[in-house]
Amino acid sequence: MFRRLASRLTRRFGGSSGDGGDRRYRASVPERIRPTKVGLWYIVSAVLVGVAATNTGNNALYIVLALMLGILVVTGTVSRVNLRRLECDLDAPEEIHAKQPFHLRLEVRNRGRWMPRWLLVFSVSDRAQPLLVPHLPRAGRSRGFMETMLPRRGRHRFRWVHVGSIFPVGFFHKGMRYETELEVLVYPELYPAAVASPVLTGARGEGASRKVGWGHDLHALRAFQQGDDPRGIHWKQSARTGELIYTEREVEEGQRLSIVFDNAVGELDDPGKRRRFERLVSEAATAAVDYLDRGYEVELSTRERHLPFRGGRQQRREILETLALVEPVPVTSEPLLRTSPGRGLELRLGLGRSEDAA
Amino acid sequence: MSFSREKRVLLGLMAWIAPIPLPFNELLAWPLLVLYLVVVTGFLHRASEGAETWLPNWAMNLLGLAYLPVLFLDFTRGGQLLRPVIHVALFGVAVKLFALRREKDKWQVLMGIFFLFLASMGTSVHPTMVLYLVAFLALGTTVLTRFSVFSVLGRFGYGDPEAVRIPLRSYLVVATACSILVAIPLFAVLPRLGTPYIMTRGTGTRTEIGASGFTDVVTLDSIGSIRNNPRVVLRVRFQDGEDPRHELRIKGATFEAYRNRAWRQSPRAETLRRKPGGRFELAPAPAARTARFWLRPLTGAKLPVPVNASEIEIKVTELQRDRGGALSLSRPSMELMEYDVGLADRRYVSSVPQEPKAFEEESPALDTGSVTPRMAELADEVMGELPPREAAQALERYLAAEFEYSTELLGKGGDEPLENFLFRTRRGHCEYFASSMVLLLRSRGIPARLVTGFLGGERNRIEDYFVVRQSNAHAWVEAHLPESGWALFDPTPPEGRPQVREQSFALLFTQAWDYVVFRWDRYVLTYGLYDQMQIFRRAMRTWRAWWSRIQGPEEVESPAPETTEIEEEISKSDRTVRDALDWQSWITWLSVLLSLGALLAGTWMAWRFRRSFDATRAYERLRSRLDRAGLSVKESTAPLALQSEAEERFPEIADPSRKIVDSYLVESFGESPLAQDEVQKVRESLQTVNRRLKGLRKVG
Repeated sequence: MFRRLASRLTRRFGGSSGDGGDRRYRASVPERIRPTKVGLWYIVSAVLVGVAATNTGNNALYIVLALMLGILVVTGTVSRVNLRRLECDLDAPEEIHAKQPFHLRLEVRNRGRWMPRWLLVFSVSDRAQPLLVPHLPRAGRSRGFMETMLPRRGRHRFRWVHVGSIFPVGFFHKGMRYETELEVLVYPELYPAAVASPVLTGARGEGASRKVGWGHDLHALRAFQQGDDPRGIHWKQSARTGELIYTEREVEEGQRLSIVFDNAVGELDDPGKRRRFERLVSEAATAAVDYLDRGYEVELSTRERHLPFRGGRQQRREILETLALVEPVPVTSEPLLRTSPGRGLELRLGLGRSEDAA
Repeated sequence: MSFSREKRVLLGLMAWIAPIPLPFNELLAWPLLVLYLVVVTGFLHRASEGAETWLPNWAMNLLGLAYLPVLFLDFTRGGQLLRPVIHVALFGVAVKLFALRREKDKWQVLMGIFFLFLASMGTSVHPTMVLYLVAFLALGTTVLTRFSVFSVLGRFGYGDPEAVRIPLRSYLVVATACSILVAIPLFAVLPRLGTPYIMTRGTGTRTEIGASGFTDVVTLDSIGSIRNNPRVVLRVRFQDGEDPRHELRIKGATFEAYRNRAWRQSPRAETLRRKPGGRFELAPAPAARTARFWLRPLTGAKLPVPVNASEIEIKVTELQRDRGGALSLSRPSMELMEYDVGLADRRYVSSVPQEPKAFEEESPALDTGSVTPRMAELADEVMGELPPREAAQALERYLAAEFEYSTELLGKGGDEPLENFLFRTRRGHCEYFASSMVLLLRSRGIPARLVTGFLGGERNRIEDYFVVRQSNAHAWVEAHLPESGWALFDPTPPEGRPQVREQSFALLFTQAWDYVVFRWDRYVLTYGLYDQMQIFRRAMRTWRAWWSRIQGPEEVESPAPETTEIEEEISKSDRTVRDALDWQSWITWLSVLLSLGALLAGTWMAWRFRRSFDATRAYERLRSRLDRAGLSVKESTAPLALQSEAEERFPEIADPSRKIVDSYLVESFGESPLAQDEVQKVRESLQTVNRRLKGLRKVG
């Protein structure tokens, strides 16, 4: 079952919430401070002024030095406060596929009563586009989106939201990370078009609804009537018979695709083998999504789970969830069969077949 | 207003303010400052108008070349280092402002402005520098903050600050105030290893020396020329609150030889050492009361003390005394000197107990080389055959009554200034009166010398001390009388003598300001190691008292061994000096240790948090390298977009940059980290990119 847990944590350093130091410790963690080029120049200048002041004993230079250090202390404190007492809510879209960019929604609140926050740059990882919040008023809130991409299917947890800033004077880049508990289920990567082709199985008429529709298969030929779509005219037959013949096609709703995914492939200790397995998963997901979008009913059979023929969004979600979590199981001699035989398309995917195809 | 426009305006404002104190400190001529300000104002006008065309680099370089001869002349003509350097800095800032193109130009201008600010601060001694400092601090904080805002907004693709309104005014006000508040204790605790040094006003112009009349050689107009100078020389506080009206005759220097219309100082006679009790004994008379002096730094080494001083306590190891009894330090002090002087009950105490027999014909105090026949005739006429004391008094009365005090004739004495004074103009200032009396006394065989110093002062009732200004400079006479030794005579008419001036409403403002100046001098400009020690001692005493209160009454301190009063005085005085030396070395070692510790900690942190080289790092470096090479690399530029832009702009680096970008994508989105040999290939690709971009720059 797909679950997404979005939570928000309140950071209250030194606050009186009384909910234990451990949680507060985990809530926000300062990250490495990096001096910028400007900061390094400033420090070098302060050292030079300090040397000059000490060497000459000129108190006017001591005043300058004290002010330079004072600026360093004040701006350091401001930059520290600037990253604290924030509240971050992270939210993900309904459907996330591996290697496909998506937007995370971030809502950030300033819990500070005295000081606004400036120039906050949020990110969830190095791979995500950062989000800039230029100004966050006292007790104010801001929303934005961060584009990111996840490389693998399966469960992924966003443990931290990183926030960094060079505010106020750009001497140091300070960072802080806020703990989140957003867990997303990443569906398999989808290819632009189905790679594997299903085969037709079973006898015509078995279990299929033969209704006129807008599918691909031929239903009947008849005389053209007023109101028919001219694109449906069978020109060859019309030429042969001398009157307009109209092509009726079968509706595809009634058609079915059975995806049989054999995950009994044993240990995948070889990276190449692992890559091939992942490719098969993606092929299955691509086919399922493709055919469901075309109105097919799709069933999925793996070694652990069977999803009977159904169409619609619910089926799509369940198939993608199953494929997102499917893992190799030990090899067995028992064949994996579809549970509801009948006419329809069948796509058999297994490591042996894939190798053959390759 | 675009970013570059606002940056220019902010830089222009800083450049406008930075050099303003320099002419006040006599380090820059006013016309030069005006010229500079006109240029910067022009720049500000153009910048605020949003002008598009600015000085090209070749024009800037041409101007720099054109300035070289001026610089050469500046160095060779003035003979000083600081002024030509300041001129160069002003020129550089003014020209560079008009040629701001790249980001680093902005920082170069800021460095130039900071240098001007340092020069202004380092040579300022007036309390009004606080206003300048606060203004510069506020503007500097604004500039740095705005620049960092622009930098971040620019990286995220914003081009106009108006598009993102970021209210910063409250922050800037609070940050400036807090910086000052934090700086005050920092100023107090920053380690002082030497004595405070003050760049006096007009360093190199010798204004202070001439004004005080304490040079080795002084002309007759040296004191008269400063009678309108209100600059404070010293402050005196009498500790028992008695009326000090008669005490404020302060001897600065004595002069014996008069040659070629100028007086020469008495030579040094002896070196004074501390006596038991820690003080320097000046005269055998007992001290009836004490006065504390705060002497502002003079460029000379003279130490003015009252004429009735019998002892002095000062934080030096030795003092020099000349033959006329004037004191001087071993070397000029550049700090506010604070010293206590013991005063005898009498109005005058001779600090040089010379016997009459010591005077022989060749004694400088009897030198009559400059006495003309007419002067000798006048001396005979006024003093007749009177005994020395009466003769001197008669001459004193004669000069005071028959001659007029005036400073109108300054510099108009001619070749024979004293002849002119005595026989033609009969008008002059105190130096003419005193010099004439000295020569006339000598013509009668009475040893005499000229004394310069200060007379009178201005009572400041706010804190009950006396302010002695340059305008209190005065000259008088010391004559040696056979029966009583050296005696003091002042032939200047009373209306020409500086006097103690009482508080008046009109002076209230001036004196309130002087109170501020006094505090500034004492606790800011001359704050030093001794003050730090006192603060530390006070803190330690407070801590001990607090600690003993916590400890309770159980502890009984063992009684200290008894010492005599003299021993205690000596040990107290010596302890001050010893402690200073101890603390000085202690602070030095502490500073060295702290520096070493900081160095080690920095090295350890750099090692601890070092980041191993990988494709991500190579990609980051590629981005920054391309950014430096002129490609617009924004935070939002995606890897493949970066790659295509790089290929388009620099086809020479297409292959290696593609390798880096591909490896980065594999490392970031692949399933396993790169192998070691792959990382090595990425490293080589990065080196290739760097090499080729450098080659391109050289070709360009």
